[in-house]
Amino acid sequence: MTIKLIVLLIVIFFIVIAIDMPYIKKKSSKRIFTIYFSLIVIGFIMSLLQIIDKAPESPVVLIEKIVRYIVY
Amino acid sequence: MLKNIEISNKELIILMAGFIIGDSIIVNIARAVKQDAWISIIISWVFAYVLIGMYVYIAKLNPNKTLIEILIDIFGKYIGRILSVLYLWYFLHLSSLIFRSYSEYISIVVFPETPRIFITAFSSVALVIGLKYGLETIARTSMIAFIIPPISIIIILLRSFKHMDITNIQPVLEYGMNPILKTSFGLLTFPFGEAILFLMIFTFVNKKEKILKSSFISITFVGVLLIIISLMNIMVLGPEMINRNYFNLHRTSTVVPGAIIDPFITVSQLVLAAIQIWICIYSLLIGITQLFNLNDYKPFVIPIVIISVSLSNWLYNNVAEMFRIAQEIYPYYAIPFQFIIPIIILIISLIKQKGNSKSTST
Amino acid sequence: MRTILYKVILTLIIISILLGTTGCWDNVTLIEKAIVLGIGLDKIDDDTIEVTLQIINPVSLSSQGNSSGSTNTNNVWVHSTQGDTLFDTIRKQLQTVNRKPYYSHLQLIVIGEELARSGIGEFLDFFERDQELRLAPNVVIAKDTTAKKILSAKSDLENIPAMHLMEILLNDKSDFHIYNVRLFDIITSLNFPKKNPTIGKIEIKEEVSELKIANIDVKGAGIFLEDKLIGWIDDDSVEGLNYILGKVQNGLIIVKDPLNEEELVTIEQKRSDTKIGLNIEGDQFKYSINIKAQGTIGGQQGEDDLTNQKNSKMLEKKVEDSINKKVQNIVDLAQNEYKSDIFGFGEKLYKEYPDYWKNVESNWEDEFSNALVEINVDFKIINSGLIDSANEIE
Repeated sequence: MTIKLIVLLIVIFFIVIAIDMPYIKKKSSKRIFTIYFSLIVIGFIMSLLQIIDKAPESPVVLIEKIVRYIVY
Repeated sequence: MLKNIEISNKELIILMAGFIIGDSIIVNIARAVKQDAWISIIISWVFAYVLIGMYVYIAKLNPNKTLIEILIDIFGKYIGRILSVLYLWYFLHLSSLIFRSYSEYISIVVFPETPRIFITAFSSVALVIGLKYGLETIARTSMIAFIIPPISIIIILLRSFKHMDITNIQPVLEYGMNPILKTSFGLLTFPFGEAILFLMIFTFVNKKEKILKSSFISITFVGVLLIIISLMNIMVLGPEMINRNYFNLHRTSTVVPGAIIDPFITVSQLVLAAIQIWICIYSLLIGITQLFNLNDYKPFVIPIVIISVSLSNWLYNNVAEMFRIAQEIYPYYAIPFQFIIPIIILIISLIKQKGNSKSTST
Repeated sequence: MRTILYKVILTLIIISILLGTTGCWDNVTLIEKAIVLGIGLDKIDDDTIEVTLQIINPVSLSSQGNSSGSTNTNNVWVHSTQGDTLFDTIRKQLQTVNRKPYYSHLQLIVIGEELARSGIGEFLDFFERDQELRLAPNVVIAKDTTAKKILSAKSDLENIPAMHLMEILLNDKSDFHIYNVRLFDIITSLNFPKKNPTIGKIEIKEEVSELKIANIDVKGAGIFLEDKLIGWIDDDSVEGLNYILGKVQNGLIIVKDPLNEEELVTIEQKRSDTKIGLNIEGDQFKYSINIKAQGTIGGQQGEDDLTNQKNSKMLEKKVEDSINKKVQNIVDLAQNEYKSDIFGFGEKLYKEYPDYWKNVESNWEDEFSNALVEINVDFKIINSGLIDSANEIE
């Protein structure tokens, strides 16, 4: 089941990159390229970790700890 | 290229109204005070004028600048950039929250068999297309689609008239003003205070003098609608059910015998969630381009939406957590973004303005 | 950008949007659904319950076209299963029903007397949680028989017996002796502490081999204490109850002719309004039931002129006494015999004087029984139909 999802994830990301490719090539700015790919990588890792259940605690937990410390 | 985008004031009204209502019907924190929920809403509504008025004033003092630009302007390159990143996180987090609440609603009420992540993922495809086309398209689509929620509410209202019992709002103020005020504060941050995001959108409005009026029209519309919905739910369901049920408006529509009207609510939620997510992600994208000195946001639409969807799944483990955090944590978490930093911006902008007028007069 | 890749991707996107947002995953086509219109709950023994579903048989319906069920062989299919909990008993239906039961159109819930006596609370949880179930279906209790039998009864007038029964219940606007309540009303009654529901009664009046709705009586009601049935109330009491709860509009009141005790006059009530007032004097709770109604003379047996001032007033008094008596009847029953607050008096106290309620809540059964109830009826006869006095037969 997870394998299916991982494969699906990779396929989705390939599709996404294929869609955006022509656009990125036109811009040909190094900055845009780096930012784009950093975002893609972040998104990919986030989704992958969740699929294989190895995701760390959500940031909300951190926020909750901070709020509880300050307020309560 | 950014600066050629324009939206009219009418579109601003609809965008702001749709945005503020957003998912507040799904995640309804006024439930906590049961039959006095409507009082909480009225109180927070009144303060909303002040709060949002402040945001508009900030925009007036810093004309033609988005929130990110103002932050860098006022706090300087280093602190300004750090604060900008924090706000970008806030926009992203908010968009994920709405993805989450909307897909939880659909998952629980409409499509129980579909895995929630797929609901989010498929809904996001349509949103991506809107974003790729740009703000003007989003605004125009919202104009058309926004007719659905108020009409749905009216239909439900008419059908449930016979089943309303006005004594259900009694005993009024059963637990005193304290819980009501606490909930009002929560309601002020969620949904009203989220309008801070519009400091990213105001620069695109074509007639800037009318922004204050448009915002107030929006707030009035939202307040009236939320009060009507709240009173209707209380009068039809009664206080106990309001607190026990996750989705009050949906429950109200199932109590009415005869035609099945809850699909109307589902469609309305779709429209409202779409508008809210659009504005969140659009603000995020504009922010990124401004932070990194780029001139177009369009390449980043899909990656950002993917991150937003992925984050929405990551945020909570279950629905109960979602409601709990919205009730207890979110109001305080929003304070720096909606109150503290804006007030500082306001003060510094005023000081700057005084400084400017002094130097021009001498 | 009209490359093949572009077109392929575009098609994929469109398909994915359509697939995901229109609910194809959850998709259960109409053919695959068994539309349940009536559900019956019975108690078999201490651990087992029996659930009966009345399901539409669409094949049979469509082949009969528009005929209104005079040859109604099997427009519906009735099937029962047994089990430990409500959810799993219903799931067992899948072992025989080839389609998945679909409850959004549920009209009627019948509860067997035995189950009602042992408590219905646990079953309501299922109804509340399920997202397909609306809280609008009407509920009745089957007296001296099982819900299974009631749901098996056939209708001569309607294709679907459950609809027939449900529509009879909706006649409660015109017949005072029918007591109609929605699932929602029962749940909210149970939610509120010390407020007890009343649920309409259904029973077989004549036993025949092929039970039809014509052999079934829908009138009267059952009184509950919390979620358990404790007793039955008769027609007159139901009339009183309907008055107190403001559920009456159009109905008939038969009284003795004021000028001639041997003859009867039929009054048709056109509308009525009930307001309940609450006053607290010291430790004593005083409720007042104020009924304001108006009606017309529907028929008279005698030949006197009942429309003149004096006679009219006497007639009105007779009507008022009649209503008063029936209301008094149910108030006595509820306060003294059953000690069950079925009127929502406690809830009224909570709404108007929440502090008092906090003090007496735990003891409300006694307080309720000791409350003073005053009944005021004001009835106006507004016209007498098309004629003013009866035909004098000479």
